[in-house]
Amino acid sequence: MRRVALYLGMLLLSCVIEAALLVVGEALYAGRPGVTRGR
Amino acid sequence: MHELALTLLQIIVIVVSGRAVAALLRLFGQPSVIGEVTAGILLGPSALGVFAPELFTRLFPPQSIPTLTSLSQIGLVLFMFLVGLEFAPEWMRERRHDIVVISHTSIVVPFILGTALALYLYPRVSTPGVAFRGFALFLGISMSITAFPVLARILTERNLLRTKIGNTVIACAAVDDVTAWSILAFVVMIVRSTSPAHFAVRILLLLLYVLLMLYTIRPLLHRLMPRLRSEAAHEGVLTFVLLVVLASASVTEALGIHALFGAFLVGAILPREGRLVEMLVGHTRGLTTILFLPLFFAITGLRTNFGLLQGSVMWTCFALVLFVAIVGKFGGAMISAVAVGFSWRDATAIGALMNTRGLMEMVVLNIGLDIGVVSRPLFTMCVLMALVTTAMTTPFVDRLLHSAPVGVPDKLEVLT
Repeated sequence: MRRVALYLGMLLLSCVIEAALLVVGEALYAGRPGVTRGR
Repeated sequence: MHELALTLLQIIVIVVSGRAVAALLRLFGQPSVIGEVTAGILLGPSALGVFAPELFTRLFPPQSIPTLTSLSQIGLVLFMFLVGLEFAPEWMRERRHDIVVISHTSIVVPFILGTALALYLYPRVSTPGVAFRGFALFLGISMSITAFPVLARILTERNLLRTKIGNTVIACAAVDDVTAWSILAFVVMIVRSTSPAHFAVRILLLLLYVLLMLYTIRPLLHRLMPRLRSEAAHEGVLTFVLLVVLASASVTEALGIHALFGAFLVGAILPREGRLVEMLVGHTRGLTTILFLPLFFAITGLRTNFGLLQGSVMWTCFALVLFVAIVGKFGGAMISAVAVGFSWRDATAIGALMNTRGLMEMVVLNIGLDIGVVSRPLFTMCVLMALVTTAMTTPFVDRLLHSAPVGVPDKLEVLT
């Protein structure tokens, strides 16, 4: 039971970190089209 | 040159060069996929296009590429069906919890690191108009892939499949495959959806489709089992299953995921009893892997252009992609293996093996390029990263475990 809770906690934490990174990126590059060099 | 004659010539050149380079690199202990992808790159704009541009333009004129791409896609659909067929739940019988923890950690860690790396790469290598979300999620999934077929071959070659490490790794890779493909389906739907409501509808349709496959098609196939006793019925059953594969592939493509998911799903849900799997693999494997799969490697090679990696910024980006891929996958698998009780040596071997990306990475990258979320420079960087991480596996594991190739059973030979 403790292991399952630990595992679910890990998944939840990673989802939070992932979401935070996506929010930071979206805020950082809001309205800015991507740049491609050397296409 | 006549269109058909050119296509046939292209196929001959691709298959022969793929076999030749694979045979050469096999002398250095490398799996066939390394040789075949290298051959594809050599035939593409990175090598042939630079050293013999006229020959390159004659052999691969732009108007011939759609035919080659379609053929390679059909091959890939059949290959993904075979990959699904290879999934065997009995691998999960022992150490089930440990396997899920190692497998999922080795996806989550590189995924998060990949997303973090996207913050740096996005303004440098993304295609104009691609949203950060799609770019970051795709980079994350590219970092998290493990090549189950290549891994199966490496373990079998070295007689490691029946060891504790081999058993754990192959089960982890199988769980990895199913999890990563599910995440990828999700990511593709996010990227292709025009609004949250559109996304919700697609998710609902996908769930309904999976339920339909599990509770209608699977029992139907189950009922076909007794017919396999007679040789005469084989052709009918084979036709039926292949039609289901094609239909499933077209449904998932229409749902906005990708045709490959539908093919993989059919392979994964097919009943495992009787001779069905054996018969299907026997009939589909040869043509798929000898003729069609090299076309996919060639298309990947044609899309890879090292000329795009010019300047220190591009090479810094590539170095970061490689570093994050190795640290995330290798490190994630290794640390979690230690956490569930493996020794450091065994955990290092598990990390090294899970870091094999091979063909599956190419599949993911090509999907990313097709839907426009992966740019050509990033595609080239990730192809190179997949080659390096796959090539480093065997020498590393051999040194660590003092293992050596001992021959490959025919069953696994061409799936890798």
